Formats: sequence, C-alpha cells, structure tokens
Amino acid sequence: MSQGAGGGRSFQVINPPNLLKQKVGSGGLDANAIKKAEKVFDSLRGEFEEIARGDVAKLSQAAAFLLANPNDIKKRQEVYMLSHELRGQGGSYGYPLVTRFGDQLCRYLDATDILDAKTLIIVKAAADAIAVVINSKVSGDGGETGRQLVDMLDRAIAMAKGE
Amino acid sequence: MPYQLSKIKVLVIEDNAHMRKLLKGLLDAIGVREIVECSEGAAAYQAIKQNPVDFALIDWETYPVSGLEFVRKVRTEPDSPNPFLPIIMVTGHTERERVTRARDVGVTEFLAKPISAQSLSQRIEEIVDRPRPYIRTKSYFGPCRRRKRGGTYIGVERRTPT
Repeated sequence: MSQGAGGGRSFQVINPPNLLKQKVGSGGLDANAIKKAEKVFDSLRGEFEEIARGDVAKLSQAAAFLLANPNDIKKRQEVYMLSHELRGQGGSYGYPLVTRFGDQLCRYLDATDILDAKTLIIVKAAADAIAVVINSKVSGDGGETGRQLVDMLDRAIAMAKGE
Repeated sequence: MPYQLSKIKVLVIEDNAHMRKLLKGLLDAIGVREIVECSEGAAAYQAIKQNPVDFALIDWETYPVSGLEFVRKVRTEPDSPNPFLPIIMVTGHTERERVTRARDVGVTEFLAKPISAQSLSQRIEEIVDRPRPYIRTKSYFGPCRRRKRGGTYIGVERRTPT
C-alpha cells in the first residue's frame, strides 16, 4: 500500500495480491476454447429468434396500447426495455441490424418526453423492421434488403423529428 | 500453457434468463466449471458471502436490487466478503454518463453488448493479466479509474484526503 498526493490531496494506492492469476496462471485463453465459445451463439440462435419474435409482438402491442393510453409510464418503460434487450443481443447472433434498429429506437425514446402518435409510429416502424430481419434471417448488413430497411426507419425517424 | 479456468468460480448476475444461459454457456465453453447464478443483486451478495467467487459478470439493471448496487455493497459494506472482487459489467448502456456512474461505484471492466466470445475473453484477460490498483480516498474505494489515460491525468481532481 502506498500513500500519494494529487493536487495536494492524499490517497492510498493498494495493490492487492492477484489471486485470480495465482489460480489460473498465464498464457491467456486457449484458442480452441474461444472457438468452442463461438459455437455457443450458434446453439442459442434459434432460441434468440423465438424471443425476438415475441419481443417484436410485444412492441407492436405496446405501441397500440400507448396510442390510447399515452401516459402509461409502465408501458413506456416496457417499450424501452424491449428495444434495449433487442439492441443488446441481436449483434451477438449475427443480426447487427436488430442491434441497429433497437438502438435507434432507444435513442429516439431517450430524446423525447412525449409519447405522441408520431413516436408510436417510430416504435411500430422499428418493430416491423426487426421482424423482417428475424423472420427473413437477414444476417450481417443484409445487402439490398438491409439497405431498404435502414432507409425506411431512417426516413420515418427524420419525418417524426420534422427534418 | 493457457489459463486453467477450471480452478475458479464465477458469479453471474443477470435477470434475463436467455442472457444468463448465454453467459453460463460461454463460461462453460472456455473452461469455467463452477458458476454461481443469480437474477438480482441482493441474492448475489448473500451468495458470495456463503460461497466466495473469483470474479463476477453482472448486468446493470436487475430487480429488486441492481447490479450497480451490488458493486457498491461489495466495495464498501463492512461485511463485504471481498472488496477487491474483479467485477465485469455487461451492459448495452454505453453512454458516457452511465459508464462514469458505474466506474464511480467501482466496476472493474465493461463488456459492451452485443457480446462475442472474443470480447468476453479480452475482458477476462484484462482482469487476470492487467489488474488495476485500488484507490482509497475520502469519497471513493475501488479500481483505479485512470489507467487508460496513459499515466498523465488531466481531468478534475477527485482524490480527497483519507
């Protein structure tokens, strides 16, 4: 342990014994182990697709509900969490467009306090775009289909922002 | 020789069952044999008091007690079983304000979603081979938050008298 001073102020610097290294040793992770780990994503991809389909359906239902009940805070939080989960997991399973659309929706919701009809159109548009990606297995950048989906959601968001 | 991960025990805190399954599968694939699973921070804190672990992979938003609150308890509660526990936060929240908040309670490393086998292995190598020193000031205890600034700190001075 050492004492220090930063800008005339004291602090302690502690270097605890590296118990983790003592147990696992040196040499980094085995390359074969990393390859084995990559296969875990393949084995869980189908389960993710099922969950994503369910999340997309919940997003669409939530958008319809919020149109009639715009002040329902719990439902709004649900919309945010669904998009947050989709953005967090899509890319892991080879669907970076799911991550992109989920992220766009989260950022749009972060930037707006009002859940008006325009906002709910964005929720529905993002849900539809994610549904196409999952149902048609649009992996990677999605080629021409991917470009069309990106363009569709970008235009919907720009219109809602009045750009 | 590569790491002998069969010798360690890892805590996973994650409320999303699919994500928990994924993290557990990845840890198992790289050789970790003992994994303690919890869906929220309070149960996890009790679990590590009974059953010490070597590092933790945690989600931020768990209910009723968050992963962030778990970190605060591990670092600062008098009955903490290991204030020096390496903690990797797995998060989709990469906004600067969020990252700063997590750093300020004592998160060791971040693993940004979407995760990959490569990104997980890199974070594990960070905590094994490049551990951060711990800093204690009047207002903070946890891993040094300055390591990636190349040794010359130019931000606001936060270290206060102990």
